[in-house]
Amino acid sequence: MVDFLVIIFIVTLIYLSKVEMVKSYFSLMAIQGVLLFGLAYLELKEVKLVQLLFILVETLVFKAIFVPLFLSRITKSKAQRNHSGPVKGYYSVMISSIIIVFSFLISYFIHDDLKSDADLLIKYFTAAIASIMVGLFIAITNRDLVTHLISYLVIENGIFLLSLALGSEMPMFVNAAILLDIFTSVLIMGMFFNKLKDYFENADTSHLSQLKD
Amino acid sequence: MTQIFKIALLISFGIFILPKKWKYAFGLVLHLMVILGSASWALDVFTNGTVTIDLGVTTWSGPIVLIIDPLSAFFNLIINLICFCGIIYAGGYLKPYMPKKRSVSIALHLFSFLWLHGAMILVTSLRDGMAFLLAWELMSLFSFILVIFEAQRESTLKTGINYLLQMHLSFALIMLGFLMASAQTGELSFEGVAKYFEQGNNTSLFLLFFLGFGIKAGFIPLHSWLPRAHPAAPSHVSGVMSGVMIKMGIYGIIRVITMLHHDLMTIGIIVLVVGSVSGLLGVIMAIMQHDLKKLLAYHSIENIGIIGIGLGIGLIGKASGDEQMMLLGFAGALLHNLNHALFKSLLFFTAGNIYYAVHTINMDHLGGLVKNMRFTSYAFLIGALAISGIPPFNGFISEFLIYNGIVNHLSTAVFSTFLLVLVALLSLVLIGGLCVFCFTKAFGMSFLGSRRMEYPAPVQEVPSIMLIPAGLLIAVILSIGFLPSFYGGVVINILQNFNAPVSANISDTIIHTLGNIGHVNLIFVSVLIVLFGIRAWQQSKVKQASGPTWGCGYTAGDFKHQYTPTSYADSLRQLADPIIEYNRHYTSFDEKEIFPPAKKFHTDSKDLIEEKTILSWVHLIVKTLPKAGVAQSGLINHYLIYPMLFLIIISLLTILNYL
Amino acid sequence: MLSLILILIACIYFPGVIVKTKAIFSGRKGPGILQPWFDIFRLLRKGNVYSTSSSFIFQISATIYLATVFVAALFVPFEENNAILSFSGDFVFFAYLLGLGRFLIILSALDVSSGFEGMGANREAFYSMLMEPAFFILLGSLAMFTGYTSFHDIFINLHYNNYFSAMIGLIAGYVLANITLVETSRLPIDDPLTHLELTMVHEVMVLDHSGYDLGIIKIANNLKFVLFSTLSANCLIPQTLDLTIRIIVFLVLQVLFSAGIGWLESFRARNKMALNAQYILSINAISIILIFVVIILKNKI
Repeated sequence: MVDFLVIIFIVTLIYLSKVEMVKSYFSLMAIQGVLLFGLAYLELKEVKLVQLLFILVETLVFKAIFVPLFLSRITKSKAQRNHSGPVKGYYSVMISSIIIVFSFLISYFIHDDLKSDADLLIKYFTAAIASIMVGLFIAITNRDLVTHLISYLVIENGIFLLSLALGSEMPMFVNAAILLDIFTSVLIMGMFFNKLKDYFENADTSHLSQLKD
Repeated sequence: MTQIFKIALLISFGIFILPKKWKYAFGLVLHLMVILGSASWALDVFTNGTVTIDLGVTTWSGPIVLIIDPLSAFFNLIINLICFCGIIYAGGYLKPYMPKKRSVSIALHLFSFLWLHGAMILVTSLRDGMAFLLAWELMSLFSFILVIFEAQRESTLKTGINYLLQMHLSFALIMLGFLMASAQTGELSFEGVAKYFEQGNNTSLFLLFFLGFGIKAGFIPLHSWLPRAHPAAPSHVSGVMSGVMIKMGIYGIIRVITMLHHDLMTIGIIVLVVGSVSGLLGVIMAIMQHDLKKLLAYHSIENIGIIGIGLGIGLIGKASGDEQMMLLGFAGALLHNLNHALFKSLLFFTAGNIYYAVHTINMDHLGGLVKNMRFTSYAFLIGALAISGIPPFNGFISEFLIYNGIVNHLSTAVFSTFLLVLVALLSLVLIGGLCVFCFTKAFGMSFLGSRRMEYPAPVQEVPSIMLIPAGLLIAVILSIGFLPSFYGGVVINILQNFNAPVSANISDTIIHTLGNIGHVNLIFVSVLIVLFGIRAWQQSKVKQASGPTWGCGYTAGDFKHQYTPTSYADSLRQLADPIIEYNRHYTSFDEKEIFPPAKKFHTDSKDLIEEKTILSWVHLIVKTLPKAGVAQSGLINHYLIYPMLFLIIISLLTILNYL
Repeated sequence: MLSLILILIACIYFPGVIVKTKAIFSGRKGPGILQPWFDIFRLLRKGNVYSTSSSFIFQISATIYLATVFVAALFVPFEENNAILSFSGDFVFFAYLLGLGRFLIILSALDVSSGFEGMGANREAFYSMLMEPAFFILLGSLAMFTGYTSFHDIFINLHYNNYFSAMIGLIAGYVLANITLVETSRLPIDDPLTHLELTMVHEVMVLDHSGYDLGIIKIANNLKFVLFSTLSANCLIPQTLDLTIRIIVFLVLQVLFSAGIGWLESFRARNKMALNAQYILSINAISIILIFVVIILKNKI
């Protein structure tokens, strides 16, 4: 089951890289949140109630429901299209598949080196590396503010997977810290977004440099 | 029989003194003599095993001895078949040139054609390094003369010289390879090379040979002569050059591969990667072309790439101990040599037919030829289907062998070979798809639809002498398609001579599978016949009608509204933009232009690989060398500085020597 | 033999199911399930109208297209029930044989010297070129997983009822379903009912075909659709079930798939032309993920 969820997670990364409507980002993020919940739930050997609650809040409530809803609320006023990126759709699909192949290779070689407990490592590590790099790639190729936020979320998901890969026990504090970061960034971005839209036609990050207090 | 071969080459000089109208007939007889002489050796090999023939000519390095093993015999038969078709085709193709050309140039052309034929036969049979290089040089020289047949055009002459230079680079590299081996082993021959390989470190010497033979074969990035020389040469020459002469490079590479002992994995990876790149870039470049013969020339590169993939797969199989993959890869590569020789010469001959009939092979100007040139279009269609690797034709059989090797290996693959095999699989599939894309374009644009420009004269089918070779080639193509197990058996027999004999079990499985393909092809044809029968029966009952093409409500269209080759290629152009250099030249419409005058639109594509690997260096050299011109000032006192400098340096060196 | 019979049965009702679903979603009663076939039979009784600029290619293409699809159908097994033809590497033959039919249909579109049909021909060639790697990589990864190289052996060995094969079967089924949509020019790529020639792919290529030939092409299209969806079903239906149950599951799956397409065609607009290439490339990417997953699993188990 775990393998299956990981594969679906990787498949969502491909779809993320070819998204055209901002709307579909939100549904993909929601799917990723649910997947992460499933993974964490299945992977934790002895679940304490506190831990379970934390994971539930982090993945299901925060990642799968709150952030997508919040973002779709702030972008609702205007049907936003995301094609400000300089990279054509098919190239970004190609590049993201190259990224995924690359992360398979990396994790395979690391697996070869380590040997110990590598089973767990290889699948999460692949997904984590792929997720982080695809997130970066999305951030690099798009200038849209919402898309940037999405890319941070993708990277955060990657880090979440990495924490799964690193050991059986979740380093809760690390996660909590990242979560807080994301939380603040979402809020700040939301503010920025509304400000930008007040002044400019769209939320292009290149406008940020023109803002003054 | 050997005597006939020798006599033919000796009396060939007589062609210069014969009257013009007998020259062709004499040339044909000479070719038949050469074929009779040499093909008998090859047939002998298939019954009795390796044959050794003393030509009775002694040079400073000893008597010239021909050693013909099954591999040589295989190439020998291909050469004879294609050259035979070529000389027959020349009978029709040269006719319009007969009154225009001077007698001596016709004679020289036919003479060179014969000697090219003979030299290629010798290349495949000689083992001695010196003699081999001599034959190789003869082959290059005579093909050069053939390329510049229409030397009155400056571009042709330029292309020819470019070709000659590159061939000599290839010659030098091969010679270097032989010398390197003989420095170690003392033998300037293939035996010496084999001994060298037994000693260890095979990669560097193999690379030397691979570069040398690769220029002839046209692997990217060594290909730049190919798309120039083929269109410049007359069609029977380009058919023979593309069909068999570039295969001499492949022959050399295979010959060297049979001797390898170490470093098989490294060499396999190199060959595989170069093959994949050649295949993919070759076909993508082909799609961008407007000139039909140039398109076919790029397809030669692509097919050489497929052969390279086959050889790479074979080598990797051998290195990783997978006998089946080794056998399938090598067998696919060898059979593809034959297949490519058949369909590529067929395609070049039919392209020649188009040129003969309408005096242009620019696809932007063609169209609708199917109505006037029925047989040519059948031949081209079969060639196009065969080269796209579509069953029931021959191209599929060899590609299938390589595919089968790849797919069979997958189940036992470890991670490292898996990656290589995946690369090979991906490139083969993409090449297949792109090939369909390209040949639907080539056939559809030149033969189907309506004409895109006015033809100078009413179009007529070419004389039947130019269709005979096409018929012969089609017959062989179909025989491979429907009797693949026979040809597969022949090829596998040849492979038994490679230095790792294969177990009978595996080769039986392969031949059995090929037999299955033959049966399925027959089933397919019978289904086809039944369906056509039903159709004919139904059609006989109802009324048939004809009318104009449905213009989708737009009635003012004419033939200029057809899809053009450029627009057909455009979707791929957008995808492959980073790896091709594609230029549009046009003046755009002005905003206020209400009654615009006639405008021109022109596109062309450059070979980015050639541009980056060769021309950029050339430009650099051309730019920097004039600065050295400072030294040549024209004043005698300046020139006297140089000997003085020389003297000073020499004396300084002597002093240094003391210290 | 069973597989061929099942394919033919599914072929009879699936176009009707699509039409019916669409009718229901748009609030109409809709024609009977067999209506598409009645239309085809009506076409088969008619004569052809040939364009004046067309040649022999135009006349032979439809029949060859049907023949290729029919012979390809002989390769498709139904799980452990033998396909009629089977040999090592037969899926390569399968794909290239379908390539022959495509080649001729493309040529027949170029044969009538119409700009619109040229456009369709170009798109068909382009999309199928992009689609082919996905099919080969998918079958390659199944071959790698099972250790066999013919359709028949692959599908028998795909379900030895462990959890990995179920997972791989599911993903392969998903990819094959997508390949079906592209190969048969269904919705995200192409809308078979659109009436704008500029945006059609497959339908615009056969604009000038009429009467008997058009009927033949429609039969071949239906057959091709069921062919691919049968391959997809082969990946999905577990072999542990009883044969009769499996046959029922197969037929129900076909109905569901057709209904799904009807639903898709009722509620979704087709892709913009420019997005098709990346849609197909993402299917390729998924099959590449699959083959990497398989190699990692192979070295683990």
